[in-house]
Amino acid sequence: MNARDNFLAAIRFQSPRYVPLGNEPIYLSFQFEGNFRMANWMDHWGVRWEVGLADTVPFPKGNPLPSLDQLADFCTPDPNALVFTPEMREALKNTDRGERLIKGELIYLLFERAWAIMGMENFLMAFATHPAEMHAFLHQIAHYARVVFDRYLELDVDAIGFSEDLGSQRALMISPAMFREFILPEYVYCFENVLRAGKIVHFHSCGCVHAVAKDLADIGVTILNPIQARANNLDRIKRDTVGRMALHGGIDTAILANGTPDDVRTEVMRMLDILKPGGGYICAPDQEIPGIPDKNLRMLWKTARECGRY
Amino acid sequence: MKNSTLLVQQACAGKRPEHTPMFDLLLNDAVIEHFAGRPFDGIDDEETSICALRNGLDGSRHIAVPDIDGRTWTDDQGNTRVAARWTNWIQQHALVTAEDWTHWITADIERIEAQPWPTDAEKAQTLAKQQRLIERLAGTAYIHCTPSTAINDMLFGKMIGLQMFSYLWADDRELILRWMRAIEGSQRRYIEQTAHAETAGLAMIYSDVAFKQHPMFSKRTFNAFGFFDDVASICDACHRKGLQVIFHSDGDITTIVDDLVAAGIDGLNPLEKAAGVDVYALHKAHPQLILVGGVDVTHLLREGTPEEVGKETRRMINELGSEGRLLIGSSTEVSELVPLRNYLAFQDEVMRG
Repeated sequence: MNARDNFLAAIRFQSPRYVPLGNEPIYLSFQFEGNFRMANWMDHWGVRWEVGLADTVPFPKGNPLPSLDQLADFCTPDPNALVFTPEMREALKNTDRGERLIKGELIYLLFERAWAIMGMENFLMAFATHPAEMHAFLHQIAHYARVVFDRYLELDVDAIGFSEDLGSQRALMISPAMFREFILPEYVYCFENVLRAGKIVHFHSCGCVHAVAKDLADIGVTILNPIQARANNLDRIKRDTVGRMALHGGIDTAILANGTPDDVRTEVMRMLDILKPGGGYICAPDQEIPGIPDKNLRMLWKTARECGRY
Repeated sequence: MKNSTLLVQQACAGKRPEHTPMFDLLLNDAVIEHFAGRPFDGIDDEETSICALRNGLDGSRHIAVPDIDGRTWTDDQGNTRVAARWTNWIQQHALVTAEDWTHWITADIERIEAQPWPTDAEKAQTLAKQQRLIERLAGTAYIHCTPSTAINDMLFGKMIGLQMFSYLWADDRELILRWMRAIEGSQRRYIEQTAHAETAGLAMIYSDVAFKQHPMFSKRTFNAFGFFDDVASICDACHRKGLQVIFHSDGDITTIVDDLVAAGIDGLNPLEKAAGVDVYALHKAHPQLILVGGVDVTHLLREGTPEEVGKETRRMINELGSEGRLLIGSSTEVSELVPLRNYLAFQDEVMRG
C-alpha cells in the first residue's frame, strides 16, 4: 500500500496502515487561470486584489458590487472562460495516477467569493436586509462553481478543493441557522456532480467551524481542512463526523512556531489521541505559516510516524 | 416629581434602594404606548417616548422615536441610508476604496484640529437641551454624558466599518493613529465642556467592541491603538466632573473586563447574556462594578414565559443587587420582539423590591 492508497483508505475509513502525513506528496493541485492569482490584479469577477502581509496573501480591496441595490442585477462571469493552460495539460499528462491524486482547485468558493464581490459588511448585512436577492446571488455563484467543477470532472480529476473560510477564531461568521438557510443548500448544488462521480470534496475553512462540521459531513464533504486547534472543539468535530468525513490538519501552528520540540511532540500525541481513533485523520499543521523551525517540523513528522500506526 | 434619580444614585453608591432601579432603552411600540398611556401619533412622538420613561422606568440612556419604514436619505458623508421603524443602516457607502477613505480621514483630522468641538454655540445648545430634558423627565434618571471611544466613533460614528478599518490599520497605521488621537482630543473636550453631575451622576462610554462570543480585536491590537488608555482618559475626565462611568459594549467583552476595570470604569452595560456574558461570574469577580442591564432580551424577554422572566429577574435582584450596584434592564434594548406581557412581568418583579 503506497502513500496514495493509504491516504484513500484513511479518508474512506477503510483500515489505513497509518495516519497519513500532511507532507506526503499525495495531491497534484492545479486551478484554471482567471479566477485567482497571488498578485495585484483584477479577476474576472471585477474584484481588485492587492497583496499584503509580507507579500503572502492577496486581499480583495475593490468590490464590484458596492451597493445592495445592485445585488439583484449582478451577473457572474462565464466559468467556461477560465483557461486550462498547455502547462496544466502537460503536468496532468505526466502525473503517475497510481502515486498521486489530481485535485482541481477553486480559490474563494461561495461564502468567500460573495464577500469578496460585495465587501464583508454589505455581505453580512444583506442576509438580513435582502434575503431573497441573497439567495439568488449565492445560487449564481454556486452555479459558477458547479460548472468549474464539471470542467474538472471532464479532466478526470480525483478531487476538487477550494478555500471557503467560514469561521473567525471563536465562532462562525454567521449563525449556524443562517448558514443552513443560505449557504448549505448551495453546497449541495455545487458538489452534486462531484460526489455522484465518487470524487473527493476537499473543503478548506479556517476558523471555528465545529457548529457546522456535522452539516458538512451530512452533505457528503469528504475531507475538512485545516481544523484549527485553538478555534475548534476537536472532540466535538470528531464525534460529529467520524466514519463519514475525514479531518486534515489539527496540529496547533502556534505551538509549531513558538514551542519546543518537546511541546510539539506532546501536542501531536494529544491530537492523535483525539483524531486518530476510527480512522479518517490526516496529520498536518492547522495553518500554513512560514518560519516554523525545522526542528519542530521534524518532530511533528517523526512523532506522527511513530504514534500514527494502526 | 418621582424619586427615580435618587434610587439610581443610591444603587450606584452601593446602597440597596427601595427597589432595584429599572434602567432601559425602549424601542417597542407596545411597551412605550402602554407606559405612556398614549399612542404614537406622528405629531409629538418624542413626548410619547419621554412619557413612557417617566411612567415606566427609573432611568434610560436614550430617548428613541419611531422612524418611517423605508425612508431613505443621504447623510452628511454622502451615504445612502435606509430607515426601519426602530433602526437604520447604510444602503450605499459614499466612500468605497481605501483611497477614498485616506483622503476623507486626512480632511477629517484637519477639520477636527481646525474647529474644536463643541463650539461655544454648540456647548450652549447642548446644555440647554439637557436642561429641557431634565425638566421633561421629571425625576427620571438619564445619562446625558455619552462620550465615545475613538475606535467606536470611527467604526460607527464616522462609519469606516470594520473591514476598511482593518485594511487601513494594516496598510496605513500612522494615519489611523493620528485620526484616533484627534478624535480622542475632541471627545475629551466635549466631556470637559458639557458634562455635569447634576442629575444621575452617570456617564456612559459608548464603545461597541465585541461580537457574540469574543471581542473584535485581540488584546495586543487593543493595546496597539491605545484603546485602554483612551478609556482611562475618558474615565478620568468624567470622574473629575463627579460622574461615575458605565462602559457600554454589546457582545462578549468578558476577556477585557479586567483591563477596563484597571482603566477606571465603574460599571458595565448592557451585559449581553446571549453573546456570552455571565453576569453572575462577572459580579463574583468584580463585586464593585455597577451592572446596568443584564436581563436576556435575545431569548428570555422575547421568547420566555412571564413566569420565567419573573424568576430570572428575582434571581438577579437577589444575587446581584443585594448591595445595590444593579440597574436592572434588558441586555441591550427592549426591541419590538419583546411581548408587552413579558416586560410587565419584569416590571412587576422589580417593583416587589
